[in-house]
Amino acid sequence: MTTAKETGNKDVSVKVEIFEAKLPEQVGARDPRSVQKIIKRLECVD
Amino acid sequence: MAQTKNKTILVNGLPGIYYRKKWIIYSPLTKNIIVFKNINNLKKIKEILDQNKDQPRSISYKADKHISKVILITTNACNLKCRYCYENIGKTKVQNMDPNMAIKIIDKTIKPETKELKLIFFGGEPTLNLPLIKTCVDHAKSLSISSTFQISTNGVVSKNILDYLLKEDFTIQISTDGIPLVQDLQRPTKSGVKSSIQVKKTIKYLVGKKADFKVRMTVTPLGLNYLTDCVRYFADLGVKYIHIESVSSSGDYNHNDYTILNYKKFAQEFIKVLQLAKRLDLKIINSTYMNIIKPSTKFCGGLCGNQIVVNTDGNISVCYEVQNYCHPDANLLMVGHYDTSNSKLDIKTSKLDNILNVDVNKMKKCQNCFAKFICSGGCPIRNRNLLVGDKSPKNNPCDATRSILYYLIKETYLNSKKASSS
Repeated sequence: MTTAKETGNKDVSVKVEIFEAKLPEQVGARDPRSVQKIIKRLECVD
Repeated sequence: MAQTKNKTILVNGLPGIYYRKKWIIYSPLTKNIIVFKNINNLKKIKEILDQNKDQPRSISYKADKHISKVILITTNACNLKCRYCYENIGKTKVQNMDPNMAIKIIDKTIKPETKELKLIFFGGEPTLNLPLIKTCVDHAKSLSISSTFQISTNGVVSKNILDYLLKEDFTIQISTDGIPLVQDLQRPTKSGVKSSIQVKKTIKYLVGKKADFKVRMTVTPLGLNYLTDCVRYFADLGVKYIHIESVSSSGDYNHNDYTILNYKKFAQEFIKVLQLAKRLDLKIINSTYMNIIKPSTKFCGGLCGNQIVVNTDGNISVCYEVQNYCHPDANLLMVGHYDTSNSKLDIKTSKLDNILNVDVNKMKKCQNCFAKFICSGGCPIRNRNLLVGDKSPKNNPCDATRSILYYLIKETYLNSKKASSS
């Protein structure tokens, strides 16, 4: 997923860049200990 | 996919912002920042995200059934008399929790699938009932599952108590509001004496012991004028984690000059604090973005139905702010009681169902908001305040949440871009 073409307008290209998300270091979690130990509680639903 | 007027977007459950002619989407599930340039048709963003199978289509909540989280209100007694306290009204008499009742309730929350017990001690000032804490800790340690302990104290405690908490590996939260001027005005002792000297001693003692602790600041209109000063004060004492929350005003329950906050100003000052924290090597915690690493449709554990708060009289709620039936939200958040006559923990299923219904997917005003799964609809008690008093934009916590989240996504993008190019 680096570049994708506009289907409706072939003259315009859409540039997509992806970075690994780096949250600002000063953003803390609820519990100091949970910064290192995030409990996975998500599920993706199609 | 939805777009709001303030250059933000919610797409496949992900928050995005418009910044320097780019749409920047934050995807916590894949831990990515996705940047779109040259996009005029916003539907295209969704189309491109949909092509990538790693990206989520929507977000739902899944409770962890292996953890039993029990918050014990050890006592409603306190050695401080805070101006904004939500516990004062409706308190008829000082009451300590009975240790036998506490143990029986703990045992009843442990199911065959439970692997971990989290005990959190709250009050009043919880250390004023130390015998109960010790009994519960000893009992938890005797169980066959692992246990962790947390406590929320006002810091006006003896070294002996701190030593006990450190010995038992507690995660400690010190509720304190900052520089002496603010602390002493807002959080005087019960007899009207300044509390800042004792709290400072406590913090320095914990820092000296390299303890795992955080400071929990409540921001009132007064404290807001000194917010950066307060953060700098704690940093100078050696604090590393600061949890900052706006004061909780439960409508007319504790409405006074200390509880009516200008949220627009709060957001502005809070962003300054985040910038300061970067320079001071501090971690700042706030409910606005507590779910930023793990988006959720539920604001807090209480709304997930996987924590209970045991009050001194055996009444059970899901929120530590709701400690008696005088609280305006007791009808929603009080879910049952412990019956000492037959040792039965009676939690009403219908009440729990009502709480599980408090979900951002069911809140009309949130459906198009880019902060939807990070703010998760916010705290129902604070939301209640939107229904009373001044409804002008400066009193709208949603705008403050959006400002803070916009800033954080922008910073995350700049941070991520910098890291990738270095």
